[in-house]
Amino acid sequence: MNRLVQRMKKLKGKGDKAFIAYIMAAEPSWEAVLSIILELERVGVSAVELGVPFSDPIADGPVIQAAANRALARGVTLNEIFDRIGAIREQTDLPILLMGYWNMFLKYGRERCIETAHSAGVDGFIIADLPPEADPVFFQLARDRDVCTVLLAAELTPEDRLKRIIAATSGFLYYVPQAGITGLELKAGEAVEQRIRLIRSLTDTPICIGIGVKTREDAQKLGRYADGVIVGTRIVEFMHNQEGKPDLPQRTARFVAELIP
Amino acid sequence: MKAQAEKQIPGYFGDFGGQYVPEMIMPALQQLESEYASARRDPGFQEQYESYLKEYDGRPTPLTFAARLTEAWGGAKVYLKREDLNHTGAHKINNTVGQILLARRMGKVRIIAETGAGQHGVATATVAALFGMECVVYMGEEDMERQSLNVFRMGLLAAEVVPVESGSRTLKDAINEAFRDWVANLRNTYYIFGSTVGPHPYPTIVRDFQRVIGREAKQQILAKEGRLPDLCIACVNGGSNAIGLFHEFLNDPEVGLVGVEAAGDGIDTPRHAATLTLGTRGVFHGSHMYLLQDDDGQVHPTHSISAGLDYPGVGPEHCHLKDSGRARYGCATDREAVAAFQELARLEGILPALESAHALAQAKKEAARMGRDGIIIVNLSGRGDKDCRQVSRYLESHGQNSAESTRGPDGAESPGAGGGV
Repeated sequence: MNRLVQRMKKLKGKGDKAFIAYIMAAEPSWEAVLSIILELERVGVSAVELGVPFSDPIADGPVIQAAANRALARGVTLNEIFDRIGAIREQTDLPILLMGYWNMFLKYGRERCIETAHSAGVDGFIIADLPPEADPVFFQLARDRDVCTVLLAAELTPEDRLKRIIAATSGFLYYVPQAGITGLELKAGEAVEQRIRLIRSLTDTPICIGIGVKTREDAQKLGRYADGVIVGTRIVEFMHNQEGKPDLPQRTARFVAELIP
Repeated sequence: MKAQAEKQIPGYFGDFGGQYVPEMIMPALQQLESEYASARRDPGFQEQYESYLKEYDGRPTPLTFAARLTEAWGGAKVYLKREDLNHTGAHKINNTVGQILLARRMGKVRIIAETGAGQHGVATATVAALFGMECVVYMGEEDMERQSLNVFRMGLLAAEVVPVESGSRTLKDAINEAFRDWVANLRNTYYIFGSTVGPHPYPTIVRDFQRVIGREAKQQILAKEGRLPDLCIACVNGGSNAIGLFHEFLNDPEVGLVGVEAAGDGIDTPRHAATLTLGTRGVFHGSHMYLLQDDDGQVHPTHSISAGLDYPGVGPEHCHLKDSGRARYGCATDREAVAAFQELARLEGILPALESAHALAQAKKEAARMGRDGIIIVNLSGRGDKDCRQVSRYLESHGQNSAESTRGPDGAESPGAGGGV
């Protein structure tokens, strides 16, 4: 079974919530990223989203875009990302997802992408600009290889569209509780709770909330009605501020541990 | 595909187009699509649009016979579709008038836009002022420097110009920022896209509001010549002025359609924006299109002397017209464009926008190949006042001043690397 699906199931069985951390590939270096992944697992992170840097990340705010630019300046490629994940698989079973933009995966080749992901041990994709109807072939290839495709649903997504998204998402549903991009402030409240209740009435797939989750309090509050939270900008920002520190992986892990409810 | 069949307006042009956007934008695109589908059927809306074109924009624009240019080039008769005579000085306002009426119809109170050369930004700020709506324009820092006059104009029109410092600091990055703003402000904000790019339904909406160019040109050439032209030529980046001219002639097979991209320093160098000539298929800003990108799918930086042609993608309908063979696409270098800019000024008393000068450079080659009974319509998409500083700098750095330049190396047969078509 897919590592992500398995992990989400296990958490649900124990009544625990998922905490998913986003970091950028090769940022500030591959050595740091690989040991950060191991450290994050140690402090209880449930899965890692690894950002695939793209030149035009329209769904990301300035913090993540700047990190992507630094990674690109280092010459990171998708192929290299697959290779590095393949290597780290000898040391960890932590679910790893790739988050990026469709053009890079399309250019790499749909089939090659899924095959390489499968053999490297990538558990799923989050493709910010690939809605469920845009490329049925890719979604089918992923299903055939038991690779998850995590789709986003937004605050204003109408119910008929929610159903289409739910049918194509796997692993979990990435719920964006407000209009906005990564790095914005969170406005959690009753509206979010109602939306989650609506989605729950339509599916058993776990629901994780991302975009705008910045503090332990946010995570705690959202965890009351969702199955987990995703934190990205805060972590990427922290790592950048601490760059150059020899114990960056440990520092990052301690920082993330503080965010986990 | 099922999803396509459900659409009220087709979302693809052959293989190209579509809606590759973050889910947060999707509800806004769906609302826009259904509102536009109803506006398109509403005679009241169309009447209102046409009335603004006439009373505010100053349409119809003339189709001017360029007698001295025709004589100098020694071939086909050259007509200029005078989009430079629109209010604000370019074709862009045809579209912004239409879209702001759509925004009002949808009850939006805030307008955002991206701009490259500044012409679309000015055209958006203008109609926002006309209707008393808040307006924010995103513009790359490099473009702001190249087009400082337009930045000043937008300020006078009470628009806020937000400098974009990310990426290559040009049009593509301004679009990224406008998308981010839109995602965060969907409820009250309308995004006026400036060209026939972006996710469906923008390529269709912008084209429909630019079709007036070709509709008028067709009537005008029939009145003057009693027949259709042999060629229509227009510059292409996103492609809105070109598709606006071409669309009316798509079903007239005797009319050749030629789009001209920016070859910058030459297509044998890395500094160009010749997307249809050298690009490969990709997905960018919501659409499947030809794209200048590297082997990993990262979008290439582009170069053109003209800020309005400096975009690495191209409208999906042009991609389809290229693949179907209905239109052909070439490119002109910075050097060829500047020479055409000077030549039109000297021979016809018209300063063309540097964008439109690319179309003229191509027209010169085409005219010379055609007989004297041939007819060419060139879309003079905008006026060149905004480009004077840029041209003057170019001439200085190439050891010319404007008085002697047309006799210089740029004048006669230019060997430039801009390929023929």
